[in-house]
Amino acid sequence: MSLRLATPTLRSTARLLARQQPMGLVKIHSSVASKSAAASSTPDRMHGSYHWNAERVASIGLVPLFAGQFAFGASPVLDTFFGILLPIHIHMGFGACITDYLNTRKAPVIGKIATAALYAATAGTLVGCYQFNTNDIGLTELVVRAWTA
Amino acid sequence: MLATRSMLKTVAQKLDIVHWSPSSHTAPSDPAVRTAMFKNTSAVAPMGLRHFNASRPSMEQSPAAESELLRQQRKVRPVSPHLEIYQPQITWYLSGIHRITGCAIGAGFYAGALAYLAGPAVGIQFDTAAIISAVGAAPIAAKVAAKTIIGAPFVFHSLNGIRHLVWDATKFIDIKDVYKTGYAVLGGTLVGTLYLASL
Repeated sequence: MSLRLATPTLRSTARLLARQQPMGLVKIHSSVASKSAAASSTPDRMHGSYHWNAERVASIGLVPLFAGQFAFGASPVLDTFFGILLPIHIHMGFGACITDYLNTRKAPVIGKIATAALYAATAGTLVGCYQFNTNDIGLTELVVRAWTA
Repeated sequence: MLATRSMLKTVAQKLDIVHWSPSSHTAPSDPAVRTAMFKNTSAVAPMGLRHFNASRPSMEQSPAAESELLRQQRKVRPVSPHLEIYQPQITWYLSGIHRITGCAIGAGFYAGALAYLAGPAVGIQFDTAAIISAVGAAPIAAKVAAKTIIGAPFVFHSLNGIRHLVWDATKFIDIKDVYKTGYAVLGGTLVGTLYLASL
């Protein structure tokens, strides 16, 4: 087995260290070359990184919110932040599930439907939280009262 | 996958290598010459990309059709057992439970918020006072059971979420620490659930 691949011999690990190539880039499509494919869509390589940052912000932000809720009880400020941060956190969680189980690469139709449904549901939830916090007793107070009823 | 001659030849063809021959066992060491051998490398594919054929080169179609062919093939391919045979470990069990609890609580939260919005339109009374009085009127056993069923996933997901954030800060990432924090999360879940159910 002394065949050496005809592809460039600069090992992918070295290219990784030189930050020239993202990890695990495997193109599982036809080998038929098409110039248009490479030129038409050049997404920002940092896009996923920004999403990751947003995920952590939404997760970390929930910790003081819940801690404050347990320590100080209900307050309109807490409820407002809850009504924004919690739907965002859940939205990204469900988005990860869709990416894992209903990937558009494998299930193009269902994946798109699920994504659209998720966006609609999140929008509805954001509106619902706002309405509830404004016109009703607020998220925290509801939980406190229902839990100790 | 072995780098068979046919695959190499396919790769070489598609990268427009003019002088490649199956008998040449080494590529030139000079990078400039190496790059020059591959015409249109950037337009074809970045370096290091691996290509897979769904059909034989002689029967190849457009890229979109090839992708579709590949997708259809994968739909009917058998899947090796994975979840069924992997040794139960706290690592992936807790990871799975983290996702399941997250989805469950998230779905419940979404359903509640959307029901609150849609209630008047559908005609169902989704008033706060109505909910609280309905909950208060339930038997104590049902209330404690409900608080346990709702509280346990919430506490677990919160504690495990903090565990994840600790990992993101690159702390406690050794396998021993993973197990320690895992057991700590499970213990904390027990304590937290008991506390919430007692309220």
